[in-house]
Amino acid sequence: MNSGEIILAEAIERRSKNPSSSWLSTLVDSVASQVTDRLNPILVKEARQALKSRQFVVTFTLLLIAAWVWTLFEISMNMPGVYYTPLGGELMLGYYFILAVPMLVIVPFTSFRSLASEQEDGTYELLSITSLTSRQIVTGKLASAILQMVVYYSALAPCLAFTYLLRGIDVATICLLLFYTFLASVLFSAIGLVFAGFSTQRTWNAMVSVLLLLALAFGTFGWLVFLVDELYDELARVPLDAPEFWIGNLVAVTAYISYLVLFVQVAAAQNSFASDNKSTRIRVTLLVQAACYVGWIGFAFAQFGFEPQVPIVASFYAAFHWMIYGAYLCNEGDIVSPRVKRSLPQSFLGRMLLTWFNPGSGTGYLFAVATFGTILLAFVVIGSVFEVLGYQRRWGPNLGELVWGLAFLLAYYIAYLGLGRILLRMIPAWQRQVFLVPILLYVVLLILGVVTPLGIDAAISRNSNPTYSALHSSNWAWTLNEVLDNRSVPVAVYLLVLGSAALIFLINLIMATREIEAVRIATPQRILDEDRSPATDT
Amino acid sequence: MVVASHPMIELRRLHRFFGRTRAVNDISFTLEKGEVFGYIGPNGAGKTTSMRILATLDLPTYGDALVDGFSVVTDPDRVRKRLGFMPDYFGTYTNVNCAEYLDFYARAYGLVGRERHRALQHVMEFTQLDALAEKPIRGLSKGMKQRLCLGRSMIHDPAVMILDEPAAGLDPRARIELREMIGELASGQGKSILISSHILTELGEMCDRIGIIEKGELLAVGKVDDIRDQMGAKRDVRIRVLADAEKVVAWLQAHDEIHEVKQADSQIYYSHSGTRHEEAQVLAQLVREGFEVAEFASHERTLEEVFMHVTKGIVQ
Ligand SMILES: Nc1ncnc2c1ncn2[C@@H]1O[C@H](COP(=O)(O)OP(=O)(O)OP(=O)(O)O)[C@@H](O)[C@H]1O
Ligand SMILES: [Mg+2]
Repeated sequence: MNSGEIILAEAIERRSKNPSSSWLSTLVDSVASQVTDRLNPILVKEARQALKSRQFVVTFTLLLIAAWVWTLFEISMNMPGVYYTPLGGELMLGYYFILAVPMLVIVPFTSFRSLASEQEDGTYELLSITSLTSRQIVTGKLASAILQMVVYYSALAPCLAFTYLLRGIDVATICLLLFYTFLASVLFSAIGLVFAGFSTQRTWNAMVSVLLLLALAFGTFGWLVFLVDELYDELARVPLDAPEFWIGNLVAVTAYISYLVLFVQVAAAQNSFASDNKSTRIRVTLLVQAACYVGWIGFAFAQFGFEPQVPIVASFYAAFHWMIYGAYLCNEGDIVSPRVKRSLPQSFLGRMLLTWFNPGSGTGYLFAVATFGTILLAFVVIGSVFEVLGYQRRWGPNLGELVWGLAFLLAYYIAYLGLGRILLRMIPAWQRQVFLVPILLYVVLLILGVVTPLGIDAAISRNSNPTYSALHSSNWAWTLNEVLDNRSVPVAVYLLVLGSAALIFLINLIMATREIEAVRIATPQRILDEDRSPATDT
Repeated sequence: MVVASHPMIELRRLHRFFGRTRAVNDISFTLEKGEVFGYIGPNGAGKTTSMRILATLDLPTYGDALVDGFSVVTDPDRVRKRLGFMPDYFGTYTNVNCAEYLDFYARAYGLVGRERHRALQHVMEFTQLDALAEKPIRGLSKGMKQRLCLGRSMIHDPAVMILDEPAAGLDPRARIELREMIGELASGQGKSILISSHILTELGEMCDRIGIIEKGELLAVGKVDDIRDQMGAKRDVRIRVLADAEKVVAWLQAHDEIHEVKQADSQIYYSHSGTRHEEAQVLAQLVREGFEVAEFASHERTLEEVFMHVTKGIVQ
């Protein structure tokens, strides 16, 4: 039967049960149910709920009122001039601010509450034991957020059309603004869903809510400032014909997609069952993101010439990211579940290359170190290629300094991440479920590394203006600065930093042996049986 | 058709500790297809805990539980497909009515098109919720919620159902209907049902087997009659004599099959573990001995009495 026939058959069946309803309405019902069958169940449910929800109606009305007030205000302020000055740009900016609050704060926070309250009310449990996967649950919540956004947009649509009529802004700019705000809203909602996974423990709920609200407010503020700053002058016209504009957009979209996929996967992993593989997908995403990052930096080199400052800034940017990713990876449990063991690689080559994608904090640490190291190595390689090609260098460190600088950066990364992992092991697993705990631990560790030698130095020498010495080996900021500025660093620093990095790496490697040695176990017969004949239900 | 060589539910040395509390402490039993198993025990015995583990909502500290041959620890996704769970709480959404609520879970269980409509219709009829379809669930009474909850747990036609105190809050009529529903689900549709309750007389009637649990340990498992037999005493007897009550007590205590002899004025209570004929013989002998027996009444121990006998009422 094709779907048309199914719809008809269904309509007939319904009508036979309820003869009083009209043919048309039963047919509409059937078509609707056919369409909604393909949608995420959570989206269907929440769309129904939203139509009856007060919060939704209130936000919608407020949005409309604000837009009308702003329109009337603008027009009356410019009254006689409305007919000849192009007001579109100014008006648009106002609408834009009005739209930003529901789009960038309310929708993401609603997503967060929506998932968090399911966990509080016990409905999440009932949902989790259905056939929905945790990824479907997360994407369903995200789809509901998108539905809300679409509704808010359509509320403002007449106003936006009006801006165009008033001239001073072109369609491409309006669309681009709306599109980017939409993307930002989706990303913020995904972050909201990740935060919902943090707050499974009641004690953290209030704190996580406040943190998220702060982050959203900050993000919205940043977004608006960026927009006003970058776009207000040329708001009227985006440079559609400039290639840099499109390249910039492409970079933004690559970064955007990698973050969005990452957040969705993290949110899904937080909500899936204990023995599930919660790591491999995330690690693959991180690897792809790293590859894109290196690729774009390489492209920037080729395009704009060799600026040694670029790989350094890019390395520090990567270090910041990989510190956070590393904290996440090192916070995983260290038991490889029997479920995961069923699909471990078996060949020597497979084990060599893929073990680092297996769940576990030990493999996570090694994965983080290997990927971050590869990123830095790639920058060095790119740098040397351009040096060999004879690109002109205007300022910044030479290749040798760059190599040593990045070597130190990697050593500090290995040492601090590894030390943090050893300390994390000492906290019971249930206490560090909330991701804030490892983040806090690493922040404290990195600050202590800087402050402790400074304090000791001040106490010993009573000098308010300390000079660099081997005592400050643990001060990553200062040491890196010294190395990159090509000031001679004591040999002891080299020994201490590189030596302790090697030592900590070795300790972590030994701690990870059990994970690395995990071998495939046979899949139970019952599962093979079912997979062979899924239809035969007992 | 593969013949199932495994039980539908199997608990293998299941343990679950919360700190020092041993909520479930080494419980093992199995449940076959179409069987109804009653789980009884005092408050805090570990019924909900073990049921939640079976429903893949919690993990055992040690041991494993299998549903249709799949482990709840390593393959919860497969267990979930064939399992309907009715918890002892009720998760509600705002702004949703009964029909939408069930429709949502039907979709979540992957039912589409006509299959979903049929499942919905069947469940609404079965739980008699048709009349309440448009009613918002926040406004439902406790008993109605219980029905809706039962409806939700059976929407995907699971082979195994786990019902945690489904009779709580139901009126007497609804309880009888629930009992009939469960009978129909088990014998009519061949589902295996694990059910916990505090209302023992009812459990005794609807369950093929029961397990008595206290402090996380299974004290007795089997058919209600068998457990009664295991406990030794089968019937409680009350007699009233017109005189010489003390002598009667002494006489009774000399018999092997007579236990727990107690006296209150002219009333004497004891429990008897022999057959009904032997019981009649005791009466005949009493009369022959010249005691003036004015009343002689005996009755089978109810599940409630067995329960009181087995458990000690220790709350951990
Ligand atoms: N999440 C938890 N954390 C700590 N202790 C728990 C938790 N859940 C249950 N317990 C303890 O485990 C024991 C068993 O609880 P459970 O809810 O399984 O009992 P129950 O047999 O269902 O009792 P009731 O008849 O009252 O429903 C109790 O002592 C309880 O306090
Ligand atoms: Mg209970």
